[in-house]
Amino acid sequence: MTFPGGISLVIHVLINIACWVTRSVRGVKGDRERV
Amino acid sequence: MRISVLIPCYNEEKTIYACVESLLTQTRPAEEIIVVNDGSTDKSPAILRSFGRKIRLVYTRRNTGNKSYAQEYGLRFVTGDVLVMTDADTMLAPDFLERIEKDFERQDVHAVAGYIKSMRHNWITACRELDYIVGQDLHKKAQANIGALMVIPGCGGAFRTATFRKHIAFDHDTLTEDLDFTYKLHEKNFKILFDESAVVYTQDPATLSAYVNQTRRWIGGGWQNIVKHWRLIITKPGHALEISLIYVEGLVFGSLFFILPFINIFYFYKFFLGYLLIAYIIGLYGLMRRGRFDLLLYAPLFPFMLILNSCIFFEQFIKEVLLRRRNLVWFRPERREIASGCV
Repeated sequence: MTFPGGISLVIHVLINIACWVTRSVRGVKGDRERV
Repeated sequence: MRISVLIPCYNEEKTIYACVESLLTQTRPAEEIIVVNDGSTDKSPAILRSFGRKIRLVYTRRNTGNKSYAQEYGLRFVTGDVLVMTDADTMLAPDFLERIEKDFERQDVHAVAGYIKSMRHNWITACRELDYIVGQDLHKKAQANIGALMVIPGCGGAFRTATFRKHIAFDHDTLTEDLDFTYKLHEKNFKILFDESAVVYTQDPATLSAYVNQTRRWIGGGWQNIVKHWRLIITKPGHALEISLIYVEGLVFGSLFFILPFINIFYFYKFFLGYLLIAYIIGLYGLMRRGRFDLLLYAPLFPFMLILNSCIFFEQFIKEVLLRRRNLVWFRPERREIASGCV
């Protein structure tokens, strides 16, 4: 369930991008890929 | 690894066959499918009996009135290492159990949240699908990244049976038992995985009144769990952030929809047009990701559903948090036949 909120959308997109970049740089696989 | 699937069933004659069939045609079959007939008065028991020994059918003495009571009853029959919980109005993708098995090969994983898709029906289910896309592809993925996943969905979740038995009690004191289970696992620091490839298709309400009632249960249950597990907010920074984003921001932004027209109508128009734009972007994303052109068509209606969600959000906040009028009456939407091509 989502509500009208722009801040959470922006923060979550940034978290996702940051985690993706971190994993790419370190060569660390995400939870799914590790399985 | 033995996998058990537990399905509570109360008057599900329109959907239960497709649900069980989707389990019997898995690429990795379950060792055990337990269906709890919770006092059904329709043809559900007869349909379930037609599966013979392929499933284990157990009966409660009478209708318990709440899904969690039926689940609690069914749990005593579970013998598998992994417990998959789903609903009678849900169909699992053919490789769901295969994916779940791979997830549990990691010893540190104690629970897995599956990925929910809405069965196609009309504009309301299309808006719910957009809601699922935003909720899972953007919000839930971020929550999983910071270890603060907010919910293991009741229609597509899996647990280590031993962990579930030892650490998750059925309290029957909230309307959303899946949230309660998730918060309890977080309190004990158990690892929860979000597996986007483990897909389930669920039947969402197709009328506005059913939508409102289901949303009331979800949001009301959400507030009940916040009141119940408030310590998580002060002990886990990730959860403090997520709960702030969902609940506090929900209240703040929701109120803007109602306050802005009285302050400045042009600000309101800009605000609303902004949401229309976001809805279109989300619709476009849904189209590309799911191949569903109808999502783009229905995207302009999505902001109206968000406003409706906000109204219910306020209503439930007042009832559950301010007035402490706790509602534990389970709402069950009217089911419809599962048509071919709806998934």
